[in-house]
Amino acid sequence: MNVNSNQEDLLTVPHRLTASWREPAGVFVNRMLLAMRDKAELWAVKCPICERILFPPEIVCAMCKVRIEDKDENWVRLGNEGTVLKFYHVTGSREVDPSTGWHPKGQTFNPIGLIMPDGGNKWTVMAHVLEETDTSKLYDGIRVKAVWKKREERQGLMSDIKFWSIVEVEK
Amino acid sequence: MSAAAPEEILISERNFDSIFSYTAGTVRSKFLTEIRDNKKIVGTKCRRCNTVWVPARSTCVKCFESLKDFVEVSDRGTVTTYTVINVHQTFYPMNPPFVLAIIQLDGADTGFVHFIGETDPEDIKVGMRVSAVFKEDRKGSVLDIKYFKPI
Amino acid sequence: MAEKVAVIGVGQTPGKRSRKDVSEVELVNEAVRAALEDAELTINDIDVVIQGNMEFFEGTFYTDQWLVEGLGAYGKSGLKVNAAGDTGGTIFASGVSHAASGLFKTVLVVGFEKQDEGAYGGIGMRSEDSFFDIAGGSGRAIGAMWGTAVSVIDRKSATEELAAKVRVKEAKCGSRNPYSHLKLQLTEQDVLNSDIVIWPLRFLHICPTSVSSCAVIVAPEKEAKRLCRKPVWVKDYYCIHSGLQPRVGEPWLNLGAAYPTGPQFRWGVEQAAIALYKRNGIVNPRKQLDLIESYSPSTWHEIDYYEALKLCEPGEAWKLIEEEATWPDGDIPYDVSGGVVSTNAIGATGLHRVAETVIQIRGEGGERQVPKDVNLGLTFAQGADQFCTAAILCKTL
Repeated sequence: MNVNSNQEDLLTVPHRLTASWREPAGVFVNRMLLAMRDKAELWAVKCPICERILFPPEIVCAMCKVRIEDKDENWVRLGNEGTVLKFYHVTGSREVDPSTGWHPKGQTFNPIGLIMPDGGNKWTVMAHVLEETDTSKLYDGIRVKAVWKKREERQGLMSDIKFWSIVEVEK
Repeated sequence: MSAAAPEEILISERNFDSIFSYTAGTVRSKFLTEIRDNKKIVGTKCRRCNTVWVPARSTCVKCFESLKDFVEVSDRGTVTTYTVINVHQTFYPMNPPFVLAIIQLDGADTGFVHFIGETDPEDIKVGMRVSAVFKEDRKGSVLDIKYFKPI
Repeated sequence: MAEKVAVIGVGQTPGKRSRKDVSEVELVNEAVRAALEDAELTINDIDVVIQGNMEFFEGTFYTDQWLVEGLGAYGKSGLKVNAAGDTGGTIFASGVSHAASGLFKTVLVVGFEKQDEGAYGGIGMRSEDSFFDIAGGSGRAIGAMWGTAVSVIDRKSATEELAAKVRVKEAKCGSRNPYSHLKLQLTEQDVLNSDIVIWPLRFLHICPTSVSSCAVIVAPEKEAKRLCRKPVWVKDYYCIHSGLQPRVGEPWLNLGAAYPTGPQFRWGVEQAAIALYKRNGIVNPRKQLDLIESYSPSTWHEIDYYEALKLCEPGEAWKLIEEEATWPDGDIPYDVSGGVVSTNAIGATGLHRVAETVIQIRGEGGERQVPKDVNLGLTFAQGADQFCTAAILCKTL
């Protein structure tokens, strides 16, 4: 028998890989998440040298290469409202089974906003879900407020905020 | 906001679940389809060093020759080493205890990993002769061989 | 560099959406044999084999072991490098540094990706920080690419119509490259009518997922001159994988260096270019470079990078497009291979860029050879969004 490159029966074997990891958040992010869960508060830290306000908080300022000390003066409380700097909306599926080409239909998602919460500065940007699905109602600079889940549903995750909804501006 | 008292530590679980599709390629497909369709085990033979590689592969590991010649090897062989698995893992196709062995099939220069069945693990010896037991319902997989039994 | 290093052989497989006829082992073997043939060497002439791919795409790990016979690596020195899209660049950098050390005679560098074996979406979706998962609506890599695209519009660097013009250029170049995956016959209207993914990103702007392998052989000066008639010299290279990366549900967006507050995708490219230009006395890249082979995962990235690479002033990429300066017969041909929007087999892509630059410098591009003499070429690979490895290749030392 010779190796026949016209061989028709070319086999592919599907295999499913599952794995799970358990990870901690780290000191500062843990505290930030506990504040979200227990008090519906948003906290960031500020680098004492370059004054970037970082959300989520980091223990080292990457730019200045200094530790941000765990002191009250380095923690910054952010407001419950913010400004959408930019937003985008993804439609269409992303998960495809390579063996069969199958993909789940009708994957629709809410738009995502890049939000600067009040009390932050130009380095404070949070990506989160916007409630408004009609993107014609959204624009750069629109004001939004965080809508939180009920206390018993909050777990210390970013999704403790359900979404950000438009703040109606008084005319 | 700085640390006042010992804090609860949050742990998050990250889950990965994705489907992959392994391509056997021309040579491995032939190896698998010969098992599936004809209950035959084939290897590839290197024209330069004469090594017979089982399962069949496309390039000689030793001399980098492209392997062009399939050779049929026997479905019987010799146990060169084995181990008994006692601990369960989700990805094992069998429940413990079971025996994994490296079997050199007659005609092959390499070992072939598979199970040994129809025998008590205590009775298995290095050097014993075994023979493949094929499944009735074969799909083109090395598991189309159920196990090797002593002869 | 301690030793001067040259590329003495290149081999590529044609990009395809799917290759059911070959396993991963056989795929890399094709590229390795092609490179050896190009260099007129045998596998026994190779001292070191450096390999790379993004293992999560195939779900097959330990590729340094899995592929050993296909690579011809059995018993040889070598290692594997895995750096997202910059894999092609980092394996090249690793190969060049092995050759530059003076400890090895010939180094074979092989990148590949067999993307018909995995679901990209699954991998992208499951690699963010699990505390920050915001229920799947985020764009992941496409979201990050959106940042670049919308910044081009906001800076007025180009309009959608000009982007369509660039896309048609990219498609024409891809059609003339036998190794290209996509060989599309596109009109500007086709591009403008293409489905919107995230405005202004359209389906046709975005790179495909491809299957291919690329192999490159490098050697230090003495060996290169002895073994090769047309060595192409690696003048310099620079790797940078150190952009800001705070932890959020959108790691691709690199918040803190994200649009609109920061440069995002272009950051690594810009830093690498600045470093290489400074070290090599390049003050006017448009004039001093003869060719660029880039890692532009979308048409909008190509346009953004005209400015990141300082081919023009910020906000003026449209001038280069209107003048067709980056066209194959222009001042500074950009991606005559068709670029990443024509073929993207992630682990191979960065290396395909090197291969094409080598081919153009040698004058062996055939139908797609640029009309001018190519002496100095800039090539780079990109990964995640901020990783970048850039290299300058030249015809004469």
